[in-house]
Amino acid sequence: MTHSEIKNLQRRKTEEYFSMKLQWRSMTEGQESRFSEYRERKSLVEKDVNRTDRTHPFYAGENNPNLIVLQDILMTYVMYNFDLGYVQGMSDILAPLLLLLGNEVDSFWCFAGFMEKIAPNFDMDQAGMKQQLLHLQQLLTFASPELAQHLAQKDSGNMYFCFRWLLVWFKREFSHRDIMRLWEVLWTGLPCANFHLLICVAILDTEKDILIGKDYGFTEVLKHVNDLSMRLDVDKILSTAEGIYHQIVSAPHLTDQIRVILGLPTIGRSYTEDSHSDTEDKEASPKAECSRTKETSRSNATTNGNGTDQRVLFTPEADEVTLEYNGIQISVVTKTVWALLA
Amino acid sequence: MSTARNGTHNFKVVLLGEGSVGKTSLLLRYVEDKFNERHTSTLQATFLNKKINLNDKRINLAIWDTAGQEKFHALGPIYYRNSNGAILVYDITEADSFVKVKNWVKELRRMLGSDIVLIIAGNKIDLEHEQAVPTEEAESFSKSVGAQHYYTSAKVNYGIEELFLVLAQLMLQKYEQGSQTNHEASRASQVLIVDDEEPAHRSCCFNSSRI
Repeated sequence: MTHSEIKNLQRRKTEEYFSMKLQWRSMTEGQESRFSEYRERKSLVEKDVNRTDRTHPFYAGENNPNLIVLQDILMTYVMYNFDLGYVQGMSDILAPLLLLLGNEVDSFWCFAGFMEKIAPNFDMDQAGMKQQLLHLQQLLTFASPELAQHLAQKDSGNMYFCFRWLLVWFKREFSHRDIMRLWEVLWTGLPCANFHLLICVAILDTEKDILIGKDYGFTEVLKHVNDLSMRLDVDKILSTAEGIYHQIVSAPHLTDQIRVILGLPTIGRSYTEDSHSDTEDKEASPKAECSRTKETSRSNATTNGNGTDQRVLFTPEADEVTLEYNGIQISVVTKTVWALLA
Repeated sequence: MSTARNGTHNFKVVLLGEGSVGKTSLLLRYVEDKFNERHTSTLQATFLNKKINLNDKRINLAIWDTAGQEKFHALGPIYYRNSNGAILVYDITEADSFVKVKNWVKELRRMLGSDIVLIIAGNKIDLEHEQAVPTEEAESFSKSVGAQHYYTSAKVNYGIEELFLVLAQLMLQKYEQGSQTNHEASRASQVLIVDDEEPAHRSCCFNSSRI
């Protein structure tokens, strides 16, 4: 992509973002009162924003302007994908992205890319989560049969104690610093598809002696796993997971079931290159989105303190347009906003 | 499942209700006497134990906290199965959250029948001036489904001790009725209590604790 193509893309994405933001920002009280599905989503967003990572300095304190940005992005996402709307856990996904990028528009698109990847986690019937928990169980059975058997005996074979890990990609288990490292690795799609499931296997394998040795049952397993939060070593887990990957792929009895989960070609079929690069492309997209947008100016980050004015302070190069509407001076930035107001 | 081992009764209790009504806050206030206005949302069920003495009996409550949002509703059965009691929590300032309570009641009665003791908790009563669910409505609904109704505030620590005490009382009562029935049916396997002839009366704390 050439420099000017990147600039164009940024401009298009910025305009698109603000046009979606304007959709909910311009909603009147009357409209809102007749739009219960919107109200529900808005109320969920407000409640969760107020309790997301508030101990981190970036989000701490009363009237922290970063909370307003967090809220604005999530509300705009509701307009971007109204059917999915807002589900608990999304604010956890967004918080580290905004902290890293510091820019509303970039964070939104990075978040949207990430959400596309994990949207099945938020299916109404939990089908996406169930599928992953099943795959996890199959991987564990292959890589650590003793533990898998123990869990199955203890009524934990459904792996539900890993629900939170998978739902928000370990966000609740690590500090912001560590989670960004872990996510960056996972976004590469390397060394295989569904590497996040091998992260689960790595953590469980590390805890294997305790889980089996203490003969933990359903409740103890759940409690033990919940209590691992913030006590895990990200580097150690990453290298363990990679080691497990290498063990799995070099195992002579590697089954097609496992191959499919990890995006490897199945036995007897030989389009190795095709399927591999295909997976990689797909897996890498959120990262690409991030690195594309990382370049954008930070000067406009989050200056929106009072939440009432329509703040449109982003890329300095954007066409700043001041227009007069019914005698009121309105300063707008993009052609989209101009078109919507005119 | 309730058991009485070494004279200690183990009861399982599950907290259910819409997201952000205060399930985790009620639990943390009750078990650890802590309150954090900005506690993170619960994404995965968890539980805490609380030991209490009631009518000279030792009771251990395993209290399960669940994720509230509608999207996670499908996970409910994993956590409420084998429960002796359920606390259905709503936020008194949010009418919608009371609708969710009604849905939970239906589901629990359908799945667990009358084996489970139900308590409906109108939380955030410190925000009484914003009350959106009329008291009469909440109480008449509770009565109609055989549930007790209580107002609580995790923030100002109001009504929570009483709620759990009454719940424990009712679960014990149900357990003793059950084991009596079993006894009559000559199924002695479940009876293991110190003095099971204690009539399951409503103790002094019961009626006076109604708000």
